[in-house]
Amino acid sequence: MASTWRSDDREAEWFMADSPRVLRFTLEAKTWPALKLGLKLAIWRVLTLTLYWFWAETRIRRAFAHASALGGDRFEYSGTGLQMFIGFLIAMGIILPMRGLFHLGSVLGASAWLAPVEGLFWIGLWSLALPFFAWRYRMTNLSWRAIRFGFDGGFARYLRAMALPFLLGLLTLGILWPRFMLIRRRWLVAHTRFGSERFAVQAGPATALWPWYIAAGAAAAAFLLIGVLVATGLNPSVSGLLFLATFTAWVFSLAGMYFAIDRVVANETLIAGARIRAWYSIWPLPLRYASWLFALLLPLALFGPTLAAVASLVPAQQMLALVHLSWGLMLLGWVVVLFTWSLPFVRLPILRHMLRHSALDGRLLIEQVGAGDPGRGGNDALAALWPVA
Amino acid sequence: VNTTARWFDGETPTPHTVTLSLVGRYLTAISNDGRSFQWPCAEIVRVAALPGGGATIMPVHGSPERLVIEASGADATLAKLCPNYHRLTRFSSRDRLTVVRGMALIAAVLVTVLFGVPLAAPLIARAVPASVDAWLGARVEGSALTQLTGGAPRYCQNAPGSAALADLNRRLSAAANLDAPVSVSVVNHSLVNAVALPGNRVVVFSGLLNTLTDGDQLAGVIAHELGHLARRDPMARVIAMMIWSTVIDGLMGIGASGIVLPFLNAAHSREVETATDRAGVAILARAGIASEGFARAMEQLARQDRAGPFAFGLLDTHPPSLERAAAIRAIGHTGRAAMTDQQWSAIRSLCR
Repeated sequence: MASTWRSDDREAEWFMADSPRVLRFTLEAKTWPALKLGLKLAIWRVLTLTLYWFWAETRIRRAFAHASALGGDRFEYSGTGLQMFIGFLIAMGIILPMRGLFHLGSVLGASAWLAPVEGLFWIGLWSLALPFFAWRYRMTNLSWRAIRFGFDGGFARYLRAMALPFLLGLLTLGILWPRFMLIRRRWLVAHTRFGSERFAVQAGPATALWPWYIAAGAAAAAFLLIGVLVATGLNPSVSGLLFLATFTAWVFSLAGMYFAIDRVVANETLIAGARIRAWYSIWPLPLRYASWLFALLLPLALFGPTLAAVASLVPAQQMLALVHLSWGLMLLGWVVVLFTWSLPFVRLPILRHMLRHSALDGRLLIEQVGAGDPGRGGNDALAALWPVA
Repeated sequence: VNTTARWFDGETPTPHTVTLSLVGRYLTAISNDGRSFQWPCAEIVRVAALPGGGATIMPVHGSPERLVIEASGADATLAKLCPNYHRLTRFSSRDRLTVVRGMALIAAVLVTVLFGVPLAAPLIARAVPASVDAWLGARVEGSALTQLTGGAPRYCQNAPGSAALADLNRRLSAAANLDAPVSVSVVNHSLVNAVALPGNRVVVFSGLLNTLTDGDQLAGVIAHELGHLARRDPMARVIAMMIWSTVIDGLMGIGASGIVLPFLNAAHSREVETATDRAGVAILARAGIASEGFARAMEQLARQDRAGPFAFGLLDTHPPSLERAAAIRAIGHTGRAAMTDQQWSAIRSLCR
């Protein structure tokens, strides 16, 4: 068993021993078919000017849901590509006018006060609205043993509950951001149902987040040290490498934090008399972010020195275009991240690892579960823009 | 064909073991507690195939019930007998139509963005009232110069220099037939450039004054900028950039315009600059000023720009300066000098 943040190795071994009161999660999917599916869908996306993404994503979700099982019974995903596409159009109806308004504001010289408002809007969209709609859409389209999951949370109630943790996360410059994410996940799970039976979250101390705080503190100290070394005349290429190494370590710890939150909340969750147990190891999982990181840093690593060299040669009016281009390359990195992330063979080993190290502990009182109204799920707009959710 | 399967009724998660048989075009099931069911093949839809040839099926399309048949060959047999078996996983004709329509929409948006916006922006710009143009110009000048200089911009003024510049501005503006007075100002910045802004504003940077060698060259550059104003290019550019940025960010993701806009803008801008050079030559002709200075200004800028085109010239917002000089000479004309040497010296000393 790989090392974990919690001292639960013995407990994990116990789960591995196929106790009769434990329902194990399994994933029955092979890498080669996932690779073939990914390539086929990628070709379709290119041929349809990326428009096939909604149907491709749906096929991947269906395949993965049906390959995943609890106690030998498979899950089922019933979302459709058309729903996601309509959701995308609705989202565009919100995002395009907002983008136009912010652009108009900056042209009119209001960027000084508009920039923070715009930043808040996009951060709010990504970290508050999108996770909510994505979660609701997925939950209302998932079933097990022919019983649909459901979701009861209203968006206004959700916003009221999240406002303070969200603002505290921002005002503390990210220090309390993991706390916000933890509270967000707990709220979403606590408003989810399996049929008529609601999930319960027994929140405990989030000690699993401490490694993140330690890593973030270490990274901040390292950045400070690099700054001091640069000020005292350290070779720029050496300081560049140090910066890259620290940044890499920090991003990995950030990725680890995401999984840590997943695991913390999973272990706090009860459903129909049974408790979810998750003991997957945190640190190997950020390896799935290797492509993410690579795609992000490579353009930066290549383009930084190139930009500096070219800056001394080109006339000033072209500098602006070059700055645009450098930002463009960074964004390209993010696009590559999203693209590689959505490939099934990238997700598969991670999902397999997580499911193999998760189980339902205790007798599931299925007799008290009935079919419930899954709740509003339909064409949830912003779900389409959350491919990494 | 008889086999066992697990049946879920969709009401509770309790599995029921049933014995299945195919009778004609019907699938019949008898549960262990004696209940029997019959489903027509036409209603059976596959949810997913199982490893080993089995399948999870929906016995009635749209119902929550599920049958999990592990028996090998079940999937192939049902696929053969049931006409709508693949209905759920098939890319339906409705989906196909949506994708085709969506592709047509994307193509239409792309064509509009690439060709329609440069055509429409000048028309929209001409319809913008002069008061709005002036209001926008004041704001754009303020924000752009503050961004460029990193603080409050320093406008350069002294009595002889400002008077000489105003005299040149008066003659050229009259020749340009503009509907409102033009404000030409000089800002202390090393940028070798001059820009036309909405609201009939022209800003000349001191870097340009230090690069040019006589008053005729400056007259050529200012005539070019007045050509932009006569064509309402600054307002058209603001409109085009706003539409492009909004559409590109919307379609490709927030910030994507950072990649596309420099290329798009450069491609469009080169055509505009060529046309504006012709307009500048015409303004000089109407003012009775020789166009040779304009051509020499371009050659002077070419000497300044020793690095040559970057990225194969794809990001250049202007055509190569030497080509511009040749094009100006091709349509050039003779005339008097734009100003005296004293006036030129006074303008040049504005920021000193």
